[in-house]
Amino acid sequence: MEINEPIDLYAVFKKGKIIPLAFKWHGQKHVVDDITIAYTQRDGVYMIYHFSLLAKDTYYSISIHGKDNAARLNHIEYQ
Amino acid sequence: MEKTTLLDSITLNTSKRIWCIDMNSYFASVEQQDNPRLRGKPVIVSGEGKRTIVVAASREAKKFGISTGMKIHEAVKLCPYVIQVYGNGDKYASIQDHVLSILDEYFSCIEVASIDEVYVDSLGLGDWDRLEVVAKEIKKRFKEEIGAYITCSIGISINKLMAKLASNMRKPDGLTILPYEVLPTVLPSVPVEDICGIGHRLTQRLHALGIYHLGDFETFPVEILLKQFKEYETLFFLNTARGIGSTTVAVSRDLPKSFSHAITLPKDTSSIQYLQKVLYTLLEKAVFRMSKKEMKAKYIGVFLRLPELSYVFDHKNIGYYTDNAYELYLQARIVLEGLFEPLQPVRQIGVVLRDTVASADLPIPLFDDSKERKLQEVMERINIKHGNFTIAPMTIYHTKSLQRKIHGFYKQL
Repeated sequence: MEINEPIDLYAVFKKGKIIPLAFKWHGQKHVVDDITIAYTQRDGVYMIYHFSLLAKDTYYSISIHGKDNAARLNHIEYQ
Repeated sequence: MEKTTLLDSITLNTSKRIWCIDMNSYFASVEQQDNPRLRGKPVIVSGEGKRTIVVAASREAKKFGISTGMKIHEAVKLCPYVIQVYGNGDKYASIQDHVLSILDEYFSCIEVASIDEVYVDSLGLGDWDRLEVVAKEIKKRFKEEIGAYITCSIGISINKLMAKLASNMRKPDGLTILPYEVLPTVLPSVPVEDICGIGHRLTQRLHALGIYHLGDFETFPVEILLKQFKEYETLFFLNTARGIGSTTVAVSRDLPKSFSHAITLPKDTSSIQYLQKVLYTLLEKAVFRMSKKEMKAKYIGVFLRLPELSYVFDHKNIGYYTDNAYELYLQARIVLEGLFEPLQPVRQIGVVLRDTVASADLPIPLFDDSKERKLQEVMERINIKHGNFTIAPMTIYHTKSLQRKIHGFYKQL
């Protein structure tokens, strides 16, 4: 299901990498159990950082746009 | 007899240690790594639209006979519950960058043959036993740092051809080492179709002569081969049977030899005006990538695929190096007009830029201050800053639907 809504993201920056730990969507906090994949995409001079996450067996696709560091929930899928 | 002498003059270089690292079912594996729901299931990766083809099939889909290049409805016929995923080139390229960054820690000489295949020269890394240890370590790092579902088959031997053969021997997730000493016992029983470079048609022709395995070349008269095949094909067969192949690992990552783009049209068209617009769109993409590498080209090629799946291709050497999309378009349009036949529907169109060179290696033009050149440079700067096709000429109006979307998600058929 496509969502495309802003989220609050909690992450650590380790060895030059962003590691999402949890995110808040519609007031509810979701703790990340696993990052299945992480990749980047270029949008002009900016980078978009994409992460696919598992939280309580639900699949989330989130991204952070380098232009404004805004995090968004793009896609959700109940496994 | 002269040909045999020529063959005998080629010596087998056994000093090299060449690796072929082949990512298994790459695009499909990346999607299965991304979304656990796809794991263990038949998955095909394709473009969007009704006329798309299978770009990659998961190992589960391959078991149903689904293969790359197949039409979607053919794949569905073989496996009605196959899951179709729209490809995401940025994702695959980004994961490849991660793969290369790991390889960079071990090797200084890396040739990127394609997005899912890499050759490396492991000069100075040690003996065959040491290479096996390193290969296992690299495979472990891929699994830990990129994802356990993205596997690769590694082949190590004395040249690229033997390394490729070795990598194909164990799939998925294989590791095969073919030192020179084992080649005389391994090669004779290798089927000719397992050799990279011997495709379906060559295989059929070799089978018709009774040649099924590499060992069959040993006793087959060279004169008959030379009558049946071209000289370079015969040389290739005989060299391969002896384990001879290229040992040159070209560090190609920074300077590609060509830039190309092709697209299957949403529906067949016989409109030259529409094809010209699509041609410009494709050229913009190719030139955009070429400009980012700070390169120029002087060769432009155009191909058309017709509904009966035949190709027509022509090219032009424009006589000078350029990265000006509009200049290249004007030349490509001449090539297209030469290929195009009125009322002949076209299914696919593609463009290729070759004879590329780094802009820094070219002399600086003293009098090139034309308005078109300045306009092109400003447009390029805008597109590099804000993304491809932020600004584009009216020539490509009405082709926006052909441009790639940011995200690619899947659909269940």
